[in-house]
Amino acid sequence: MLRWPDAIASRLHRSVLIDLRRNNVRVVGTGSRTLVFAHGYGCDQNMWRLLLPQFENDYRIVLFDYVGHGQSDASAFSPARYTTLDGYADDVIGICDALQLRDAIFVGHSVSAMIGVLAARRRPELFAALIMLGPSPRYIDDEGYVGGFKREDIEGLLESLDANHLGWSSQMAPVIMANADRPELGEELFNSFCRTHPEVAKHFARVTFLSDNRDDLDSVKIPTLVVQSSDDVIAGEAVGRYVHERIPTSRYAHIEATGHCPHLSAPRETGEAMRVFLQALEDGTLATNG
Amino acid sequence: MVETGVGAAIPEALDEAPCGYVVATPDGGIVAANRPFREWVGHDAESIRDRKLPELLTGAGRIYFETHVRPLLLMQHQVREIALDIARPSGDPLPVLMNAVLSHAEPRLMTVLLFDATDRRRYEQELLKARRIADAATQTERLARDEAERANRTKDEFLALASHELRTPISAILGWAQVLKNKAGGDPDIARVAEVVERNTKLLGRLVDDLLDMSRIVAGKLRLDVQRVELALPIEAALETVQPAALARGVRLATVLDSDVLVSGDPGRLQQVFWNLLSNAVKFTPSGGSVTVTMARVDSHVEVGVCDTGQGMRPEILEQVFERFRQSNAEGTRQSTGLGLGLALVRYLVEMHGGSVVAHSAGEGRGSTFVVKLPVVALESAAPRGRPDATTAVASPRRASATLSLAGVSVLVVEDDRDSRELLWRVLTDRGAEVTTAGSASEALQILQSSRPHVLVSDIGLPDEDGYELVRSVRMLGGDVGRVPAIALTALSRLEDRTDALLAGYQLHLAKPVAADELVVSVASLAGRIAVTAG
Repeated sequence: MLRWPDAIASRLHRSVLIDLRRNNVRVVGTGSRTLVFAHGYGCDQNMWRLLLPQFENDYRIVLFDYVGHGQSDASAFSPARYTTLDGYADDVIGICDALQLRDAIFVGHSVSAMIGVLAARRRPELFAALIMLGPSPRYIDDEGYVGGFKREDIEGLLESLDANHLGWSSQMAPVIMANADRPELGEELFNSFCRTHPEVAKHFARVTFLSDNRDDLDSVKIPTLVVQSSDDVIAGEAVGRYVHERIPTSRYAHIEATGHCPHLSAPRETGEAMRVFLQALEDGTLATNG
Repeated sequence: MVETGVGAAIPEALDEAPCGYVVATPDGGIVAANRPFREWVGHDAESIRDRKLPELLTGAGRIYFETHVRPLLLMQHQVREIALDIARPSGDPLPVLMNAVLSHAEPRLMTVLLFDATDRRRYEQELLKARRIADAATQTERLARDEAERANRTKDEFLALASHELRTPISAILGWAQVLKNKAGGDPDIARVAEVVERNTKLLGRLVDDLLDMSRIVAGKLRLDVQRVELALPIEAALETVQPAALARGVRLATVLDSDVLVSGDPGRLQQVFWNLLSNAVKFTPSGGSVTVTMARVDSHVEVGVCDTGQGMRPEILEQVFERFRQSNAEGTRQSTGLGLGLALVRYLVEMHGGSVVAHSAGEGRGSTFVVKLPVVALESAAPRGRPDATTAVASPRRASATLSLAGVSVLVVEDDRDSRELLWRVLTDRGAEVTTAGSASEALQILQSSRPHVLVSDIGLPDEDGYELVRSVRMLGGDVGRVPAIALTALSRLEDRTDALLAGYQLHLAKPVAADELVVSVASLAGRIAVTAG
């Protein structure tokens, strides 16, 4: 039997640890299939907390924070590496490789839906399906395309990030306070919600909201679910339909839940839409444009 | 939208509140809002109920609300001090600070307080701008400092490399100059050339050594070979080294040394310290001036003072003289040479010995004093301080000997160092003496075969046969020649050396560096001339 020399093995081990530590990777749940949950702009893996109970008994679940978010290693951030969403896709690929994942299901919220598209195109064997919650391939309006925002809006966002981080950096604690009527949320957990490194947040906002991944949608050849909530001001219904139409292998699920974070505002309804899709995937009954 | 049935739940008093107050469903659907808020967004109590809070924000505010505020509210039910912009009908955004609470109990409602933050935002923008400018300035400054440090390091490395590389050719030149001198045979021109080359190469080597030492110190690589040292020895060795220069410049050297002081240190490095101080003092003292070395025990320390009558220093540069590459000359007039490393080396070396060095000067033209303070090694039996009989002072009053003539006095000078020999010859012939010189003991004995000088002046440290052996041989010659009065010259000024000299057959012992006047007086005395002129 062939054995790798120890040096190679240990180097491999070390690089695995680097990927896992950098992105604060956590693996929970049991099951033969793996769901990789990727949080969106502005938050961290905590945003999946209300959705998880519906899946952790049947799936192995991988959670992580993008660099500069949550409990990730912010020192691993470099503007050069994360100039485009491809840098974030690299991290996703690194995590999957470290965990030796194959044919997993990638669940991406908001901008992460596009990061999943980029990762799947580069490494098709990693993912068997994509689930997109509130995806948008382009946030800024364009000729014949309504993204919902103008360039000035994005510039304004970057400014307001400055204003907010000015407050956050000087008095982080008052922003997030312990809540007496939710004792299960300890103060420690409370203070860790959606913490972002100011510079990273601004950089990620710029990369996210100025990105245009419309043509990348054509590369998707695997079963895909587009979950579109009502009244999503970040990624409106027209945008969700656009994504669905450009991915022939996709299903479109409109849910009653409102806003950009249905997995938080309506975790049950969101989970149900995902379950239907996952069941069809298992059964092999997914029809295109279903 | 959730039907709450609590549409009019806002107390009227809140219409007068100095802030916006909004009750909304969890997805932002407005149930009620107070008057200030309605006025901001241009709605009345009825029309406001058809709107959603995010829609009333600017595009940026909407993104921030949806990506940050709403997830946080849903997870932790409360947010504080969020900066957002409300889109006013006029088109001007209104900066606000938002606090919000989302209740758990049904009906689940969000209560939002919004404060006009126009002034605060302006202040924050100014602060951010100032911070950016400050950051940029810090960055620029840091880059400049890094660059300067890097350049300084490069320079130190270059100096270390250059001085190291220079040593090899210098030792080759020195070696070959000595070979050339030995091979000169009887050709005085070649011998002279070889000697000049050798002397200057030694000087060059010392300068390069200083450079190399400085770079070792900067790199933290200088090591001391520490042992118990009788402090007078390195000082005397240093005195001997600077003596030719002092003689050449006409600078008188005087010493008051205590032979019982022991310090813990590196003899070579201590000699370097005093050589630097002495050569500096000689360098900056004009002809006719003097350099005095004193030694005094102060408690557990010994203070060695090197005092000159030279050009002195202004008070403001007394500290600076110990900095590297600093020449203490009066500005513009560089009358002396050197690299400006000597005093910096002195301070480093003295500090490495656990001591200190300070410079004093009464001002320009009034001389300088450098005091080296070193810890003394305790002796088992306390040594008496500054024993007078161990002191070799050279301080003849100039006026008393100024008119002293040596006319008709014949002197044989035995000295192997050519510069010193020439100097002794000049000093004595200037006073009218007839001077014969010899470079070695054997040469001197040969001369004494055929002549009998009035006085013999001999160095002790001669090659082959030393000054002790010479005088013994002379005394064994017998007859008149055997009784020739003799003066011993030596850098070794310790008591036992002096005793040895007298026991060997000398009448007088003069410590180097010998002042010209004292030499003249001594020769005159032994030649029996003192009574004539003084009487």
